[in-house]
Amino acid sequence: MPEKGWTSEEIYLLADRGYALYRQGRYQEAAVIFEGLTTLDPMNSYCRTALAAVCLALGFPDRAANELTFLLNRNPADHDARARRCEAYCELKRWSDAHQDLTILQRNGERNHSQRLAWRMQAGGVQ
Amino acid sequence: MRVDYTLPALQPGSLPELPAGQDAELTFREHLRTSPVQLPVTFEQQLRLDVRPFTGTYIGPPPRPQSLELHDAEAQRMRWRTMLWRHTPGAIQSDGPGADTRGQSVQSMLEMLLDMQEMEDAMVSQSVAVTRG
Repeated sequence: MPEKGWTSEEIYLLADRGYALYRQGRYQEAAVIFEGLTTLDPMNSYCRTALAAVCLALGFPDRAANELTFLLNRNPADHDARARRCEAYCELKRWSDAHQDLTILQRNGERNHSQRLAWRMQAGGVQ
Repeated sequence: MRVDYTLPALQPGSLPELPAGQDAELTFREHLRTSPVQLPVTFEQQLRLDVRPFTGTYIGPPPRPQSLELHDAEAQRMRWRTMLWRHTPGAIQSDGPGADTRGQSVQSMLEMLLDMQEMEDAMVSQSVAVTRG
């Protein structure tokens, strides 16, 4: 539910503007919008995922991991968020955390994500 | 050693018999029209353009609320402006711990969007002035 005084249509218009900026590669501006949106609508998983993605693109994997942890605490079955967090952990070289997420993905049959992330971890020297 | 270069599927003797009756009277062009070739996959699928290029930095478009119609560009612009003006003065009214920080991020967002809107308006008015001479 959005913050009092804001409608879901307005949240969508803002998210759409943030998405347009992201598509243009204007990650800084997109991050400002998605950060505002996570304040206005804290339970909006799209906005939080988008904020995490933009943080990763901007080179802030620790912030991305925090946002994704918030999502996963609410919904541990969100494989998309888990794969992103695994990637953020790889960026941070937190290999044991990354391995833990990867194991959960593999256990749930997420082949696309897990294959890519397994290669990523191998490239990082982790077996 | 003898090498047979004839592919089994293309042997001249193995052509199927043409059906008699109405089908037999169809011209070659009619045959082309009546039997469109069904490609097993589209070129987007073939080139995997429909597959999401998933990495952690990828996002798709936001899900649109069903109640929102976005066919009319003019109405869309109006809706956007109305939203900015409606929320600009106070930005956010929140109480409790962290309210300042929370309000700050919304305030920053709205200020940035207003700046963008002013730039956009300036460009439009300039282009209108140039067009009118």
